[in-house]
Amino acid sequence: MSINRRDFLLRAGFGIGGAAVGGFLPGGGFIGAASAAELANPLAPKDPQFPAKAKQVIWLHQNGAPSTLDLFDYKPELVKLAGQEIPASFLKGIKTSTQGGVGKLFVSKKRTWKQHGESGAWFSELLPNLAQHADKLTFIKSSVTVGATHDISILKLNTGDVNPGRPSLGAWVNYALGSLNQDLPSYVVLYNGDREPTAGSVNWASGFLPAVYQGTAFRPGDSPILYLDRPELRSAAEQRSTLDLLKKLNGISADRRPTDSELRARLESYELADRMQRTAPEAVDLSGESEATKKLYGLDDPTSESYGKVLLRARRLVERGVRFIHVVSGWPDGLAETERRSWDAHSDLDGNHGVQARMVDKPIAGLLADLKARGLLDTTLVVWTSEFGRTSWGESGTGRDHNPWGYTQWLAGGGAKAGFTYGSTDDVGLQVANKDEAVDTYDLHATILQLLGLDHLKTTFLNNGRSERPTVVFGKVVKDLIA
Amino acid sequence: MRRSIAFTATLLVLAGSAWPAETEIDSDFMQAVEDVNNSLSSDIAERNAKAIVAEAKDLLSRFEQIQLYYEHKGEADDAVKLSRKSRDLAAEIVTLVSAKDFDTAAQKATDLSRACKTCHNFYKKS
Repeated sequence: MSINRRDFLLRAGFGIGGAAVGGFLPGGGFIGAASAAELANPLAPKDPQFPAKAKQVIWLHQNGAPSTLDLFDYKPELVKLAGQEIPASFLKGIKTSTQGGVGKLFVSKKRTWKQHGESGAWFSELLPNLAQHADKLTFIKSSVTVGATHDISILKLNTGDVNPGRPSLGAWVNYALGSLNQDLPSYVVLYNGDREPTAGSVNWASGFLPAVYQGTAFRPGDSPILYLDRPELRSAAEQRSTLDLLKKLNGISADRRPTDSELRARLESYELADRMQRTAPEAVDLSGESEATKKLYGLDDPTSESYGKVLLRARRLVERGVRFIHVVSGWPDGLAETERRSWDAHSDLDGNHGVQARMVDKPIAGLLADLKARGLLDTTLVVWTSEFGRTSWGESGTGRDHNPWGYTQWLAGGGAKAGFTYGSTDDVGLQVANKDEAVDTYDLHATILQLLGLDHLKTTFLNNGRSERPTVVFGKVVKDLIA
Repeated sequence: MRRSIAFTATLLVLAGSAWPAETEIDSDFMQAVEDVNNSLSSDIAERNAKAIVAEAKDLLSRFEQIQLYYEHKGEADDAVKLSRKSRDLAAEIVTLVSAKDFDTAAQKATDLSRACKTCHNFYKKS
């Protein structure tokens, strides 16, 4: 059999499969070290670089930026100073160029606080159900980021950088670890509300990684995947024949364009769609869930119902091996256009957070309880995160402005140190108290990757001749967060 | 008269050492630092020792200039401290890579990037 140069390169690992995983390998390996399965299927499961504590991630993005000063970060000094100008000492080192300027320190008269669990973590009255899980949580009370508009800070939250074009964390995880279930996308995006999150799909894109690693968005409601059903007039066998022909024709094009990852992703997506028609309806169908489970997730309350459905789906996807589930909070169903708001409370914080907290409190508490009961919490890392926090001073008299200088996020399960708080903010909750304990977005990413058995410094991809990694040129694993 | 000439000459020498530093530290200079730093990070991942050493030495020299600039400028203790720290980190990277310790070099390069960011947080324009 004769073999030309193209055939040789294809067989040597630089062909279609090779292009899809080109430049990769976690652990700094070379293309020759890739298994046959990896070359044939870029989503084949791959071993972590060292023993992992977590296998899967549920990334709970609280869209709009909640005031963690009103949820977790109790500050008696802020209560004492409320209504006064902020002492200048608290503003040292920050540029307060946010739109609302610096107003007087603000505390809602409705706010009450209580400690919970053996850890004694503080929760406000806004999260009564989540408070019952205090000892499952690992608080990061020294979170920082780059403060800008929501869209830019959300991009940084998901990709580690403020410029578009980099892969999201979920895409890096998908690329480095592959899929645990070849019949479902291994990176799924869920959201509640009646429209896709405004910051857009760039937040679950694969950036310069091959397109096959990008997230797949599922719509809320009873039909999360558009056009999933096979048309009645087409039999399964007819569809398979059509797909086989399509695959053959596209394969010819792919041979001619071995570096075209978009084409490779499309080929893969046709096959995945065929398999999903058989698997996905069951994966997202909640009708088989017990009434007790539905109640646990808050499906019995119109305010929490839509978010609860999303999180119940997230649990079902975890059970089916979906690697990274990226959940973006929206708003409850049935609200008038003027009432559809994210957590972005520049005014009427009590009204806004009253709805948003009620929307997520029971579902998240239910998710933690359910994962624990099913033995999944040990290997599933739940991350409660947002693009920034909110200021200690008020805006519009009843709201708070954006705060990138010190806010709270938390982890649960997946090898995180339960019942533990890392870092703190200053006495009024504005800035990180100790700059050495500041946790930026890429530090959070590095720590999550570590829990998944990946060294962020060695999870690399060669893009335009430059070795890129998930944490850009930054990132530090916060070892104190790991059990 | 002779003392006066000597004093003037000393001033000129001092000024001569300050002006080039001041004129060179501009946005192009800082962009070059960023570009070299990005390449350094990439080359450490690729274990390209020759390029790493060249880039780290380049950075070392550039951070010396930055340190000098802020020393002359005055009232910038943080910048002086951070540029000195960055210079030391660049020097450490050269030593580590010469000993083929790429893992520690990668950590140090990350520390170097963080030092850059810390400095920019102190001195960013509003």
